[in-house]
Amino acid sequence: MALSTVGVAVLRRGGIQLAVGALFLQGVSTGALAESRGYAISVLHTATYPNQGDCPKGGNGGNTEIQERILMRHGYTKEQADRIIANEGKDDQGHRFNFELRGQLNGQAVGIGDFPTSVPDPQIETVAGSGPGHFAYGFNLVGHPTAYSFEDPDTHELIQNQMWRVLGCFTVYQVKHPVIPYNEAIAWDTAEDDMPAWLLSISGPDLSHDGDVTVTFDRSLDIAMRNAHGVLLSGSSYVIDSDPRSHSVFKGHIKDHVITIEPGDFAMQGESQFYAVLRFRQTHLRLKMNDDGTLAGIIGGYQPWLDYYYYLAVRSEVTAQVDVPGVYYAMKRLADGIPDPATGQNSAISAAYYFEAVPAFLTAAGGGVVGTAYMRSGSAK
Amino acid sequence: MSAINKLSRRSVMRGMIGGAAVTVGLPLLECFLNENGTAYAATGKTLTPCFGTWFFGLGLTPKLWVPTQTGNKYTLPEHIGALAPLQAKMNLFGGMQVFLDGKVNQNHISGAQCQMTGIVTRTGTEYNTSFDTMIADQIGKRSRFRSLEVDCMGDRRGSWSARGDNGKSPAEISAVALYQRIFGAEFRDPNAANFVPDPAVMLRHSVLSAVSEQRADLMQQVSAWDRARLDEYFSSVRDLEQKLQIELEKPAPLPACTVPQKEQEPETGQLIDQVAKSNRLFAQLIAHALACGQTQVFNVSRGSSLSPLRERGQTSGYHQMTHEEPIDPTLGYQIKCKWYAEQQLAMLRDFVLTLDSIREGDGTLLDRTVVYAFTDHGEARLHSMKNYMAFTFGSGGGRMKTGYYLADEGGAATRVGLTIMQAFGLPNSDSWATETNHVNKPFREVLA
Amino acid sequence: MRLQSPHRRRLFRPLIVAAALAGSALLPWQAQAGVSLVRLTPEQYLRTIHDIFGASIRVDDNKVEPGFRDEGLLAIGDRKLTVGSAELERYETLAQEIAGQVVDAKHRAILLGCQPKSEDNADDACATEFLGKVGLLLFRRPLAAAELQQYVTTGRHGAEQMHSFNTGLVAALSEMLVSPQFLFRVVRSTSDAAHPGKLQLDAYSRAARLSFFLWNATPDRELLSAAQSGKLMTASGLQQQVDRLLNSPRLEDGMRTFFVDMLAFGGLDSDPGIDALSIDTGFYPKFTANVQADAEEQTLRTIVDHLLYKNKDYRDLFTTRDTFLTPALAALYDVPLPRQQELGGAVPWVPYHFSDSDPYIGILTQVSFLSLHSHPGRSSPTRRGKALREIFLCQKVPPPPGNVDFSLVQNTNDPRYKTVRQRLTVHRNEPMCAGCHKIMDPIGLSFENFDTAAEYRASENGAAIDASGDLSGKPFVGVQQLAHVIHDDPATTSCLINRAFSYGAQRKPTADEQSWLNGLQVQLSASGVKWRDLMRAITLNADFYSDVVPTNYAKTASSSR
Repeated sequence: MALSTVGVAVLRRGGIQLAVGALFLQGVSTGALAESRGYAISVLHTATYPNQGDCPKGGNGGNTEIQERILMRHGYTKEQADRIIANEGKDDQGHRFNFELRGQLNGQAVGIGDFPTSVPDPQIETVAGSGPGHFAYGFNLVGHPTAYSFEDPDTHELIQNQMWRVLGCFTVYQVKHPVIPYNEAIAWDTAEDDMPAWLLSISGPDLSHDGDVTVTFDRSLDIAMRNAHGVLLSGSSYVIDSDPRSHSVFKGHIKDHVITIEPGDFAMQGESQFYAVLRFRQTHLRLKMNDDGTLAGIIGGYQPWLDYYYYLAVRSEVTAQVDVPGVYYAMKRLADGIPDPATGQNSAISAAYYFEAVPAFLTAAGGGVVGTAYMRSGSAK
Repeated sequence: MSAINKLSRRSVMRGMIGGAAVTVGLPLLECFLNENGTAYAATGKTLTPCFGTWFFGLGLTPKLWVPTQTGNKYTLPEHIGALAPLQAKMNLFGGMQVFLDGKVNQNHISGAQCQMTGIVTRTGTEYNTSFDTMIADQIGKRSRFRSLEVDCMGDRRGSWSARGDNGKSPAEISAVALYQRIFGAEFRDPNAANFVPDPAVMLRHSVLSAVSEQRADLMQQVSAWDRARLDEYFSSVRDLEQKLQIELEKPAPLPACTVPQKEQEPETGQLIDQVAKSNRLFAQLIAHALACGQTQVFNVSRGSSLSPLRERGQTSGYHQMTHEEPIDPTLGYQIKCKWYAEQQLAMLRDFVLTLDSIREGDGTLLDRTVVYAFTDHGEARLHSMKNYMAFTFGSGGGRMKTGYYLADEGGAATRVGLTIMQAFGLPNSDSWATETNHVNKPFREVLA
Repeated sequence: MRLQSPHRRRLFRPLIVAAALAGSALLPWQAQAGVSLVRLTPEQYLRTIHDIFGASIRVDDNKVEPGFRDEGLLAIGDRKLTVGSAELERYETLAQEIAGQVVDAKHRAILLGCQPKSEDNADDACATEFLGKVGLLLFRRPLAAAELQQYVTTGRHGAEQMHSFNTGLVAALSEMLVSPQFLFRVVRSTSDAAHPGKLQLDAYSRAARLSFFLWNATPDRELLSAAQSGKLMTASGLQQQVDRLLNSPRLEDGMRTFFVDMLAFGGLDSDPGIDALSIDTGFYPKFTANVQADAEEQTLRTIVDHLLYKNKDYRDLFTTRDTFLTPALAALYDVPLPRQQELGGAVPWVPYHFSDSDPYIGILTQVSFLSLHSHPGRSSPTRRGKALREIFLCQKVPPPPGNVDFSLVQNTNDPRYKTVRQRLTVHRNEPMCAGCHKIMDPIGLSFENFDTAAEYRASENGAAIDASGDLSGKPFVGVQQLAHVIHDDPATTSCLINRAFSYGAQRKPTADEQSWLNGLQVQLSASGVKWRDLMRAITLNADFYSDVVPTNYAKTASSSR
């Protein structure tokens, strides 16, 4: 059968893709004609948005300033502290100050990552201000303005992002997209090469137009592949891990090429020490569908604050570039969601993450294509 | 020749080895030599000359490289200005041709083939003995390596050197492998205080002698049409015996000899920065090999003659550019191609300067070397066999005069090869090459 | 039988370990009418060492002279190769290393077959036994008594000098390994009164030619026995061996080596080999190192599965939708690759079937063809057209004339000439260029929907691609149709048949042989161009075991000194 090349192009590229094989999405009824596009998440980090005036007391600084303050709280003068930092942590008598084991518990030196309350609250500076004109990415999780809301720079809605309030005065987080906070950039880049890929699929009757869709997150059995530029390879195939712990389904909607979802629970297991698990309650999403087939946007909701705390603690202060117990205390204080019924302490904190995804083929473990890699063809080189 | 020569090498070896290893002095082994090699001298005055070729594909931008006057007081044109530091030690030859005598122009092959072998063949796959091997036979008989071929672009087939009529010598493409070969376990430092011949090497040498002894018998049996190939095989055996023999002798000290650093393997590729890096590394290795007396002859190339040289981020490489880049209407030449040609000249300069950087007595290693830089076409765009240019660098220990630009409009490019062969005193070098490329007039101006 | 990876370990015993040939009366070495030399390729060298001594013997870096292509095949160019200085240097080092491993503690108990009376002295009996066995296998024929004695003597002298039996044996074995009898296949033949100008190979040479053709391996014991007994010179004896070799899984080795040669994976004129391929990943980020590493294997696997395991017709290789993919290749071809296993260990090859709506059809749209005959940064219809003609149709395209002016051709920034087709049309209207280009470009232009990295594209610089062309008057649009035109063209079949014969005999066919091959083409076109049928026809033809006296072997005009 002879096909004109133009015909082949339409079938293959510009038109509606027919999903080959059954759709394995759980709990979603499939239409008579459905389209399912697959993606692999290529970038993930906290959505930062630093501004002048965020930190009127001057901010928490970077490692040098953090260590200065730790030493001063331990009784050294500023000059002595600076000498110790310059001398690889050794004081004038030659004793090395152990930053990691500076906590005290029952008379013993303990690690401040495992025992953040073994040192007093250092009262780190948190982001000041709330209301319109004070910016952070995020979502409106409570349905009404609060005394601690920020204005989202894209939607201009009043949103909650207490995690930003906690982290935003550390230098390492004071970067704007496309720059990624250093500790997260390193962690994600390393994890990508040995952690099974995180997947996403969008399905609906017609994804080129506004309408209802289903957004599904899954983990893969396969590690993400990179292309020759070092970024995630478009068009790779991933087998979906049928483990339900990383399977999250949302009802969603496309409008003007932006996908949003009705709030729900999200969970994704990682495998390396850096991203043991990512989870949200009241998950919100806004994701732009770019012309080249990639996705970019924000995901957020109430994240158990200990999840992020442990990520920082495991990295250690020097690599995380924060005051670890300081973050612990601040998060505990500023956490704003999911109270523990017994103690009343909020177990989750409002947070927002930026992520990108590239087109990928998703296949079910038994065979069958569940999501196709949809890329509108650009012009040839 | 003393009676000791009549003994087979093996039997003499056996006598020597029985017992503890002994320091072997030079005279004892002279009886194994069947001709007089040029000896190394400790003073450096009569150091063996060296010869090497440096092939660069796709020529230069026509007309822009041509000086306005000939002779030894010419101004170096801007296009070849990279060679300014070497002008006094350099000769430039121009205006020459390669004659095809009615044969098909094997693009990028026939020109180089003719300048190296003196013969243009009908097909691109035939190849004959190249004159560097003839020089190697003359000056390199006492070297550990008869010659060294290297390619800076990872192409084993890049070399234009051939010993015999059955294929070119493969080129070394890995700097690390070459380092190992020359300066690895078998290297005998000429400046080392102690020397003890290795009995294992003696055994290997005697094994090769046994193989050599089969020559007469086998040559008789092999059909006439394959004898040449078998003969070349046995030449290779002799070369290897020679090499092991050298390793069994205490070498004469060479003050300029130092063992180079072992470098990391650079990435091999066709991008200009990769090739330039390879070129520098191989230049170092070859310079040290020459200074340490490991070889006298070398051949350097950069990929096949099609020169797949490329600039990072460009869709086309040098070769494509020569055919596709339009000639700029104002300037009158291909701008990008001129740039590529100058990149290659910079690499040539780097290579030659590396030889020049090794001091030997009052002069440098370059002073006792002749480097012959030649190309495949006079004008690459048209695959032209006219207006060839060629360079020589170094005087070969006073065997050539330098600093000249000589033009032979329409003359055969094989004249340069002839001149070099006569400079090195090759026997039967009154004339060379076949058909219209046959020459018997060297460039006398540069012969000492 | 499952397809195996090309680098699987041998599962059978090393040849040297099996019992010696029964009643081996060592033949005297007679002067023959023709004794010709064919150098072993590096791959044959490696395989031979592993076949004889076992796969645990390490052979490092035996890449020497890569050989050159003559009359379309490396196998023919190899006939002209000798062993140069640098190569012999390498082989001598290898000989030492290999011999050293054969006698080391790990191997000698299995490989020697005998023990010396004392480890510190010579032992001629054990040395004779071992070297006789080894010599037969290395030289592909039994050693004459005097010949064997020479090696035993080397062994004895080495043992005496170094006070070690094993070191002596290393000397003797390495002498064999650098001998021209090993490094070259010595082809012995006698003249044939019935066919003047032709030489008939003797039994051992026949065994070697058969074995290297079908298995690309040194003749095994059974084949050597058949040679020794004379059975191989009879029709039935030959048939028996041919059947045995054709029924072995080792047939795959021979097939792979043949196709690597025929398809020019090592390079074709200005097209680099797969190893040297330099597609610019700045423009084609999907063309990762994995893709380059997988390209050759994808095509070889497709061919082996099709011809050997499914026993299908060669012509269907151009129209088949079946292939094997790895994740990297699937991403390049933009198709999903469902698979049962996890990535993280060895990359799996997964059978894949392209649907009828996919543009990828047959082996001509695989990376190994499309990218190999391209420029690093853009496609080249001329190169692809030339490669198709030369590789698959055995048609020689003459080189460009010496004084061609290319400046007429290409200005990639000219807005009038957006697509390559538009630019090449100017090219082909110039009378000086048109003669050759009209036989290359129309074919190559039909591949223009595939860029230099073998990715599909519908347009170039914004203009839609027109993939119409013609092959010797037969029009087609796009590669889908071209594939069928190639399938139906008798030149495709006759090219394969001619290449196969030439590859095995390592020479061009004579006029008589050509007639026979033409007849074979007609026959197989009707019955099906099946690999085993083709192999059987060639290896049962007596002409395959003949050589021709070269007509002008006198040296061409040597340089006058």
